[in-house]
Amino acid sequence: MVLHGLFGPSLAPKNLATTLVWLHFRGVLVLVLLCAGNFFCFVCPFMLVRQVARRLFQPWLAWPRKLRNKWLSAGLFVLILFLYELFDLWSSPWWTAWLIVAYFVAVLVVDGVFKHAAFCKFVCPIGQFNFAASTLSPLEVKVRDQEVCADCVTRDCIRGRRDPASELVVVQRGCELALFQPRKSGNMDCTFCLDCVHACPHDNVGILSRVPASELMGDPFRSGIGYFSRRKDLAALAIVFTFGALLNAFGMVSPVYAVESWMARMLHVTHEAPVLGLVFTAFLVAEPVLLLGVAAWITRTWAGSRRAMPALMTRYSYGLAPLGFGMWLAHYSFHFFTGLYTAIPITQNAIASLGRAYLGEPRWTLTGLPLRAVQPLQVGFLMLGLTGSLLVTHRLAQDDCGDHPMRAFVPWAAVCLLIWVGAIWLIFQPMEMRATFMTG
Amino acid sequence: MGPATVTVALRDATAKPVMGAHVTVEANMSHPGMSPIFRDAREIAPSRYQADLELGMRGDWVILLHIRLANGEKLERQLAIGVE
Repeated sequence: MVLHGLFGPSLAPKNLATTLVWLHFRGVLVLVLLCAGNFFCFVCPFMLVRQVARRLFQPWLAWPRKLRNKWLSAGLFVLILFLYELFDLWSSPWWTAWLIVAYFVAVLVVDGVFKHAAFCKFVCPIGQFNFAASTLSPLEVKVRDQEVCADCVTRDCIRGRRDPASELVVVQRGCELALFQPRKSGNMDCTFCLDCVHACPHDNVGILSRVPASELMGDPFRSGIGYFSRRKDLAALAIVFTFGALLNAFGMVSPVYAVESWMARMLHVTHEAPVLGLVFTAFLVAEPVLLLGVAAWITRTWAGSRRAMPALMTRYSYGLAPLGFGMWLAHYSFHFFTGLYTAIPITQNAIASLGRAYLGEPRWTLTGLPLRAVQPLQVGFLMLGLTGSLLVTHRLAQDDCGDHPMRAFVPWAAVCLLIWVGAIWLIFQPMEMRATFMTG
Repeated sequence: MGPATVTVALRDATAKPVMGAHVTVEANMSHPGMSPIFRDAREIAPSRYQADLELGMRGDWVILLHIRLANGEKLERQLAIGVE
């Protein structure tokens, strides 16, 4: 992909880097997260670099305490979304290839210097996306029987299995993301690496099924994470995940160009960055603060919740994650299914460009499923997201305000419905892809 | 957005008209995954080739011209257009 991105055709629909990354990878990623779990992190190609590097030298520093949260990674997530729009990454094989290279270098540097899985837990924007989405997945790596753990004295699932001859030699890593299995709850921060599964001497850890989104319905203490309700950084990630889904889709429809052109005229600017900055601020700061703020205020005044406004906003922000995931699914599955077969002619073309058409002449007319088959699926994903968000926020409202659960639920249900209406409006907008700014 | 006509005038290096070529026009969106449009152009006048396309989406399109000259030589040209 990198080689084809750098040296292959400059036209995005003819290049493996742009097609596989922005069509197939993203589509498969969200569908696997929906149907199974965080299996991208499980097979993460960037980890190959880490494994090789750690055979050559050992990291020596602990990740800085002040950065042991999601602020940096949530910021990088926003940065990637911003760069995607600013540089129209979907239309540039060259930039896409360099993004992949930059990712490899970042993994090498961070995990070459810092111990454990610092990159996965505190830096990787794709990982954060996967963590947030996998809270809605039906599979989880967890303990089979808590009583077995109660009798365990070695705690190999987190310490790693040691060489009987020398306690300092680890023969099987334990969890590098600091998730102690008996107290782990849910998929947040779990990369499905299965180190804990292999390390457990009692074969008491496995990939087990569970109810999707169930981990969002309560607020237990979670190993390696703490309480969701006290993690403003995690709430910010949930907000970026949800509203970023709308923003990312908004960047691909006709109205965005009218809005950007209008803003540029008002601001008297000709460069896209300041306009895009304002659009991002509106979507990722103003809109969430307004919606969540009003809903939290109503929950306090009408339902009589004793929690402070910021605490309520933090707590209920996780309830919006299913809707966000529904939007990511609707968006990425659209590209994936409508361009499903395009990898075939591009691969044929890439092989043919080496000198001989071993796979035949490219069949450029192979594209994917028709729009009429994909759009009902998109609506279905959004319905699924809405249902999930309503169920989660209802459960949270029940826990919060036992006396008036419906009063606590109504404002959050209204927020969910508003987001859902916006999402439905978005997917029925005509798509308009531009790699140029303000063409009028 | 809608019907569009692509007209190509072929000249050689000495500006002499090039006749009898086979020209295929291919239109692609700038985003991967969209269905490309292929049309064979007809020679409407000596050295002038024309194809009608139906561009179904607003945005940036890339027009590829696949040209096979009468002597069998193959050429490709690319141009970007914006569709309103």
